[in-house]
Amino acid sequence: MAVPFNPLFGPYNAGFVSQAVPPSPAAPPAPRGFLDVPYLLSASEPRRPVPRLWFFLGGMLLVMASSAAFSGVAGSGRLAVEIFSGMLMAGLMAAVVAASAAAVRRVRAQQELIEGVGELLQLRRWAEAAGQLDRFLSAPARTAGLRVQGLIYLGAVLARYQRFGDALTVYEHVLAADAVDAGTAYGLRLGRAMAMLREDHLVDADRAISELKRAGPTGTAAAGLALVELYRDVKTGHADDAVTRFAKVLPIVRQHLGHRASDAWGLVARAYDVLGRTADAAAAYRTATLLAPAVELSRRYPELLKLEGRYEPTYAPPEAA
Amino acid sequence: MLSTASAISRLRRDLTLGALVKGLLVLAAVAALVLPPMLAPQVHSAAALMGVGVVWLALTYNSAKTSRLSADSPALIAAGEYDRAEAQIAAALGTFSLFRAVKLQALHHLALLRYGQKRYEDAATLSRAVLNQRLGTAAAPLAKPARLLLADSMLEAGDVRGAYDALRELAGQRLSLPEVLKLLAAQVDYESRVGAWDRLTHEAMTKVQLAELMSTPAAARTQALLAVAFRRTNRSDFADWLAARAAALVDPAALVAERPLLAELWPAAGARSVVPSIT
Repeated sequence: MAVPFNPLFGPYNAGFVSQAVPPSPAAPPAPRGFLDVPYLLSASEPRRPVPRLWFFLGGMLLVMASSAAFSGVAGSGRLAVEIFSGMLMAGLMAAVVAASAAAVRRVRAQQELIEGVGELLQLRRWAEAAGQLDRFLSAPARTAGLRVQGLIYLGAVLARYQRFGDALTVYEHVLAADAVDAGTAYGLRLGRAMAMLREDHLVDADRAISELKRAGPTGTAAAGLALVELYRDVKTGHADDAVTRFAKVLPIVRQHLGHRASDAWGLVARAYDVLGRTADAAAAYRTATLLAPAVELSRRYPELLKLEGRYEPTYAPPEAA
Repeated sequence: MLSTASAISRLRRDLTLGALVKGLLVLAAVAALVLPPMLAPQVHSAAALMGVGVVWLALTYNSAKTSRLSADSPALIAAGEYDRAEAQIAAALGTFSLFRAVKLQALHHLALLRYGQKRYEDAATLSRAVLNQRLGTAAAPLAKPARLLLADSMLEAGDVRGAYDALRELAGQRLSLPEVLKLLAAQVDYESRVGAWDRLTHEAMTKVQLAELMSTPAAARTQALLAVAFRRTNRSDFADWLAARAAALVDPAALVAERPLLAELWPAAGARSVVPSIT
């Protein structure tokens, strides 16, 4: 007799079947999103290292104890014991050297991968860098240092994808771990302050900027801080402050930020625009777009979208456009 | 201050000593295995071998400590703290190390320091001394930076032929991005000196995009030299755009002072700034 098809209880109701059958322990994990930050933070924790040195020392002691136990054997038997224990010792040493070499090779491979990600970020190949970071951080890192470097790059990728909340989580995590040198920590704090501004956490950003200023930065760090402060001024409508600050910081921004000086020129163009100084705004916008395309500047700072169409950018030759 | 000749002779002496100590340790390990059963039955081979192992480990530990002595020197050189860098490098060169790579790296750092101090001939001599040694697997990563530094030092010292030889060795090698950037800067500089204008304008946009990733002075100089190439090949639109970009990065007067050839882009460079003035 044919069984009538019941949409609720019939064999074709997948939802019903999945509720009725308990999941198998070997079932694949639920799919996660791309660059799932909480997952990557926990999955990338390095495993405890294998205590190879203790195994080696234990083995040595064992061999020596066995050799001493059999030392009472006379004549050719004693010679055989000596040779055998010597060979065992040499074998142990060779095993330790081979295991260490293999471990070094694996660390070096991850190091090369992370260096490659750094290069991809510099070349602005964001999608490839994101893919590699997602894979790298989905498994325990070989060393804590490599993991931290991967997380720093992850923060940069997330900021690029305008996921500033996630970027803040990553920056906070790395800073809380206290696993980076003072210069790197300063750079991370700058990135965190910029992400706060983009997320409109203005009070937090202001506090973060005050802390950064207290550290008395020099060189590239000072130029980075100047950029964050300029953005804060533009974002909070203090156009006068932005113009005054720009005149003061232009030399260090030019010296240390290279083509990223375009950001400062773009922000001051917006400040001039707010103040109604259109000639100055036009000149600053021309310099900004001379160093970086207008579309890139607007992506970094949405406030600059208001300048597009109002002022002429610098046009690159056709091959460069 | 460490003289170039004494640094090189100290390196050679230490490399020989290191090789001798390593050879002795290997001999001692073999002797620990073979001799006690035949000549001194009261001595355990395992204990003798362990003794050799302990000496080896102690020397390795000491060598690893030496490698950290000059690890910060590139950062110090970049920050212009030459005296501290010199002290660190001198300490690394003066301490015994079992590893060739540690000694060679210290000498490379000394070459970097001399380049930073604008003592280009010393930098070239030191780089050549590094490259003349058998680098082996551990020190192989030094080969490309040392060759790039040699090319750069030769160019700064005005030895165009020597720079060409150094650059030629790098052709076709797989380089990291920072090495690519250094090679490009040196290559553009070299080609501008020999007047290879057509070659300079080849794949110009790739060169410009890479120049954007360089440090400010290198980015400005590279783009300015490309601008000269475009001017010489009658592409004034590209030349003007590149010259304006270079001027937005570095004062043209400073660029002209470094490379007088660039005066053709900014004839009155010393007299006025090309960057828009800010009020």
